[in-house]
Amino acid sequence: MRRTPLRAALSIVRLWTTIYTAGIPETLRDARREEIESDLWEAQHDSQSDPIRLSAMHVVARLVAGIPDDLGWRLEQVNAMTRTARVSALVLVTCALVAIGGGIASWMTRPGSLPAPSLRPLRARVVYPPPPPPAAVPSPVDKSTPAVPLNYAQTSYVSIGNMPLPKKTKDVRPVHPPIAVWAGVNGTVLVEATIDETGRVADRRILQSVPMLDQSAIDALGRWEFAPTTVNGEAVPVTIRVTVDYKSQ
Amino acid sequence: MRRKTRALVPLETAICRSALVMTGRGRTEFHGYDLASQLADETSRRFLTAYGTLYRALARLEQMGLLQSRREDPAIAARENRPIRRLYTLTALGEAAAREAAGTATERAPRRARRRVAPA
Repeated sequence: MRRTPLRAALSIVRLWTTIYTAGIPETLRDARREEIESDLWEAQHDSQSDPIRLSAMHVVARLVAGIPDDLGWRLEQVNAMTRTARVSALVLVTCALVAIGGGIASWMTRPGSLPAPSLRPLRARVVYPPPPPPAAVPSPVDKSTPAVPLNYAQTSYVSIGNMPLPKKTKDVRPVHPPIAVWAGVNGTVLVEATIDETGRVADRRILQSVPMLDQSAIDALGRWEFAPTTVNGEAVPVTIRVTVDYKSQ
Repeated sequence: MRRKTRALVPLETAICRSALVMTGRGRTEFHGYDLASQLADETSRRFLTAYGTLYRALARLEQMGLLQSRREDPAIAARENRPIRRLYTLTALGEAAAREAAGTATERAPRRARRRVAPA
């Protein structure tokens, strides 16, 4: 099964949710983001579901059809805000719409992604040129590395509350989302994470948010692993504060 | 568009009806995806209600007091390694609205049927 278009569609939904919930009261924002995240997860793990509901096109269709309501819902929340906040929110959403539109367009026209709308007869097949012969020296880059080079964020972390600094055993670098790079969105996301006794990341909280970048930081940190931290020979949970610095190169 | 506070749009009525069906099956709490699936299954649609449309309608129904929601205990979600759910329940008011809507639909159905078979 081709999972890449689905993953891309899920990322677009997350990105759009991050955008249209940006700048509204935290409680409402987090509640909406959680609901969408939960919906995406349930859809992927529903074994009874019609397979079409797991397709990228279905996910994108659900997103696009709901955009007027997303904006309507946002306006309802914004109405309770000050005039300055309303204006900045409007500017933010307009920029975001332009950015996401450009991102979707470039994604759809990229070879190997979703087929772009075409006037060719339905039976016509798009023939891509054969791949170049493999290089003489095997590349150390993993096969899953996309053709487009990705930008990664710099990370650093400190422990909180006089606890020893846990040792990271598995690192996953946060990807600077291409759409954010394209839109020129840089910044620093601060995340507080709890590492449990086994060294897994049990909980993550955003302390300093950059709406288009939060999800990438949260996703990467969730895949980090640490050696268990011990105090007096006993494994204990430890809280760390992670600085994730996104800079376009 | 402004609507009267108490006026339910068809989607909201359908959500209450789906919630009533699930409650009747012994599921007193359900999340948004459950409702979307139930809605699609009832109407034999393959496509689920759009994210924005569904969750905006759920927020309105909660404001009207037809649904209640709570955030799931994060420990449960962490244990099952999945995102935290928002769990909805149908209130007594919501149940009444769903039953009223079902009754209205039943009353209207014969009239529509008569119109269809009437000679032109």
